[in-house]
Amino acid sequence: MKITQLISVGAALLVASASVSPAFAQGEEGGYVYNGGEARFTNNVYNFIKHFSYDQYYWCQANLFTTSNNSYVDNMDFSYYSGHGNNFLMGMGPGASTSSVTVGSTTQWGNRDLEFIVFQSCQVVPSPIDRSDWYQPWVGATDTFQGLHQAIGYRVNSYSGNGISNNYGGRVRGNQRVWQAWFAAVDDERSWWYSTFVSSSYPGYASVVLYPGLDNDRYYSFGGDPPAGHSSLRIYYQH
Amino acid sequence: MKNLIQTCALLSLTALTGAQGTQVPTIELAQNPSSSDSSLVLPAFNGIAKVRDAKDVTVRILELSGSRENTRSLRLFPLAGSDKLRFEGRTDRSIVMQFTPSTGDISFQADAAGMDELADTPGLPFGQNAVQTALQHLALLELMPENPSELVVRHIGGVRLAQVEDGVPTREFNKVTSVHFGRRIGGVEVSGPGSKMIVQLGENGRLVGLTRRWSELEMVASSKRDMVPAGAVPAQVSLDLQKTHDKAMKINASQPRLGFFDDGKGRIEPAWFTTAKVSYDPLVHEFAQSGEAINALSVISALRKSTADFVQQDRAQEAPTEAPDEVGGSADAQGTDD
Repeated sequence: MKITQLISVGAALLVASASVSPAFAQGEEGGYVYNGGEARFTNNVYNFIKHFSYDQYYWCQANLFTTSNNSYVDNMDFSYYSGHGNNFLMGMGPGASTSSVTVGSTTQWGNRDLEFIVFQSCQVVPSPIDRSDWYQPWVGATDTFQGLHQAIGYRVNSYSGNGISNNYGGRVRGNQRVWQAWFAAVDDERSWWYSTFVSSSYPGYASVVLYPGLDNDRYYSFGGDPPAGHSSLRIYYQH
Repeated sequence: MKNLIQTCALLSLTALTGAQGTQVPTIELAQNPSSSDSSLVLPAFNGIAKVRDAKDVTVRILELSGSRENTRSLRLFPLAGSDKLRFEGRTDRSIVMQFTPSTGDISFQADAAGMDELADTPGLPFGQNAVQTALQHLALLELMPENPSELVVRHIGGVRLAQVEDGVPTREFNKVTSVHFGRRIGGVEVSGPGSKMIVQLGENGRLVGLTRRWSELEMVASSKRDMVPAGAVPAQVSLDLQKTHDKAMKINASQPRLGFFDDGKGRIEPAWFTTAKVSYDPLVHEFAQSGEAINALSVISALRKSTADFVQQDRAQEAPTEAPDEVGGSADAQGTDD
């Protein structure tokens, strides 16, 4: 992990010692959009990456997340996906050659670069009240957390096409803690409408899975990479 | 005319062909608006921000939350790329305060004690205790609405933590309790990003978060003539749903209901809210492989001349591109992936 080596502190010392690294001020950001989907997905991604001198902005293809991830998602410090999702699943869209990617052994991230990934989509990060196996695809010898710090999203269905990604981009750029900024941006948008269909409040409930001890990571000051193949995972979720 | 619209609303249309040859989703509207909603004439409001200055409100929130920050030298700084002012704690770096001068919006976050510990936060209030504690905080901060009867409890929730080690998960720990207050004006529900206060409580009910997007109301007179005829609503809802979910296969919509929409930017207007289930072709959209349908909410103005922001999102200034096969020919140093 080229960037984090500049901040070689233990996770426990992170908050006290964190500082903005000049090298990391040029972090790498990538945006990935459900291919051939509704316009809001493009708007979601663009309104996040526009806060940075972003490096990638692509229509989704499965290989960006899987076989070619070292050139794409895992070649960034911060990756932002938006599209239709399901439990542990990212839809790639009708324009993609493969229709979805499931989190797990085909999505090993962080062994090249990636620290943070956001899924602005439904259900990609389920919680213990949604699934008892909430952690399984994320951690293990050959699973997703191979140096990744945090994976952020929603535990339930979510609504997008609103101000969240723009708000969140500003907060991350302002160096607020990464997952806390997401929860705050979601709450800024929160509203309620009674109905027979909508059983939870708009825009949904946020969730994050992270390596324990990296809870206070900020985009411009974060802890050292967790070891590859570890089996420790923490989740925070709204309910 | 009315009969024609009703027929359209109740008709299950077969897939239509759009202007560019693309299919638009089939839509079913359950019913036309009810006669009670259709007969309502609701005013619009301009929202008036009545919150003290940024420094004053920040100091009071920090003091109430028990912060040890030095508030005498406190300064808020502009947040780049926005119209917000921002303060970050120096003693407790979990503290973040954002303030929007034009609307009075407040967004405050701090950690509960032992936020990352595998234990319940001690003395965390729940249920009505949480509601009462949240109301006390708002009163002490002088952030209650001018008309407190408008405040309604929408939801009591919070944030939980769990962890897994070597395949063994812990139980879930309650870390924060959250009380979401919404608004009702004259018995009519208000939705949208404005008209809410979300109070977050930590140990022993300590204030650890506040999202306040609330403006006082300056009524703008309106008449029946200013409102979209109820009979025209189903067609407008259909268009809105089909435009927003143009890649869907089928949209099953409920009865439109009349309420208020607060855009969080100083405008509250009567609006038609329609919830829907949107389903997709599982052969094209794999997230729906088991027939999953997504929830949708259409909100359209009930006024002929709307000035509220119903979109709430900036359009992308550029479109993504297809990725090249490889970028830079980089290889996986660990050799575990590619």
